[in-house]
Amino acid sequence: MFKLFRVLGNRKLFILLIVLVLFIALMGVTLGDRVGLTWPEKFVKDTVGFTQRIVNKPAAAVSGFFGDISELNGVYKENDRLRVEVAQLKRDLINYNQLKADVQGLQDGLNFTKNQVDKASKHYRFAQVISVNEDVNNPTVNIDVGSRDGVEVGMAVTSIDGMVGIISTTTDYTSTIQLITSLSLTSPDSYAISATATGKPGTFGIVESYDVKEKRLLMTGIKNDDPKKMIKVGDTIVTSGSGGVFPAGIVLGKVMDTKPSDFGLTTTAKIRPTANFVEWKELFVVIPGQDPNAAAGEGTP
Amino acid sequence: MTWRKQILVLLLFVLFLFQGSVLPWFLPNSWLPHLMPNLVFVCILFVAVYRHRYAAMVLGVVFGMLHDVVYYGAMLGPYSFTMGFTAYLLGLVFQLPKAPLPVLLTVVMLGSFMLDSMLFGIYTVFNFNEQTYDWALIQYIIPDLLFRLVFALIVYVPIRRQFDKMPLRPKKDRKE
Repeated sequence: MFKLFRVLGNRKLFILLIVLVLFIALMGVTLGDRVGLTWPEKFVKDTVGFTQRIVNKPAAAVSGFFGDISELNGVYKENDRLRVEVAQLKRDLINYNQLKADVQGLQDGLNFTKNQVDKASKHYRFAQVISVNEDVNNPTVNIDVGSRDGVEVGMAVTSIDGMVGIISTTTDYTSTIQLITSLSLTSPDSYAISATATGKPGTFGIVESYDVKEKRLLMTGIKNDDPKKMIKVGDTIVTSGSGGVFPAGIVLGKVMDTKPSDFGLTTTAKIRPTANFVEWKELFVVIPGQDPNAAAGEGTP
Repeated sequence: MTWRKQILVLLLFVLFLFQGSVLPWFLPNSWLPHLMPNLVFVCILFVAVYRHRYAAMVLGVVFGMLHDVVYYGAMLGPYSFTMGFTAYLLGLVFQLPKAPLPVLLTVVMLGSFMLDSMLFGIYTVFNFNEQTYDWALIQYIIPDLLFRLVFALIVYVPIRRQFDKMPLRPKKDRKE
């Protein structure tokens, strides 16, 4: 007993224990959903973000230059392929504009409210990555747009290929993205994405975890009343827009494997994400609602 | 009165910017999921060995908190606590102003291993990861250790030279 008191009497050990308790309290308090950041955090994030932007700009340019040189060989083939795709795109654009006009006419005819129209539409805000946190447990990426640019917590972020993550915190000039590789069922800070398969209306499932070992997203609870339109290997999975958290039509990935769930009523699918989480170039924040800056009528999606 | 100490702290901040905003663009893509290039921590371990453990602890807490705030994803505090604690502990055991290279490399290896293991432990306690420890060991703890070791070898000579030019304060030595 006296020995125990002597150990506790050691001042340094006592301070260490207090510090340990304080840090655990800090982690617990800042864990999970917070309403907003405090001003010291915002100040530090904005200041560091500003300097990171300055440092990152030449680095990204130089690394892009080296990448361009290494891709120089494939340029001619790629150009040919792209020319064909542009021609295809032009034909599709005519169709698209016609359909868009039709849909707008029908919506007007049915007296859609502004809210309903906004729910179906979305626009993209371009963002440059300014820093990357290479932490396996807590992967985050900082981008150079913030709440001044209309970015809010909870918005989806995509790369050219597909969904990358959601905005977890914003300051005035920067925001932090939490990657979908940190999706987990047990994590206190996770979220779920309602998803569907393209070309298979009525399919519904929830993506709420990511298998780090297999590098696959897990989509659970997949149901479809029409057995002919059941999900298959090779289908493209997109967000469904139901639930109202993320707008519809953000690409998540391709189905690699399906199997019946443990109770046999629904299906579980393994999805390979189309976005790669290593090559950080430009990202797009998906903002629900129509683009206020876009010219009315004409425009590409 | 020289400004050497202040400039070194500023360089540490530049290194912090470098590891977040420059390095990921130049590392091979296949390495990225296996590395957390926490280069600031390696320099803090130099401080722990060649200067004083309290200085290293303060630097570890400050730069760890900077990392936590700037890359705030899950919670504040894990980096701050682990970096400060590891630097203090290793400074307590290995603080030798004339330590040769092998001792320093041992410290860097031990420190890197301790940092990643403690981070793994904290994130496991708060349910952020479901992986097993041996998977984490192969996937990123050992690659991290090697990467930081190579970085320590590269910066050993310049940092050692700067520390040798900075005299230790004799008053503080007597107190210890």
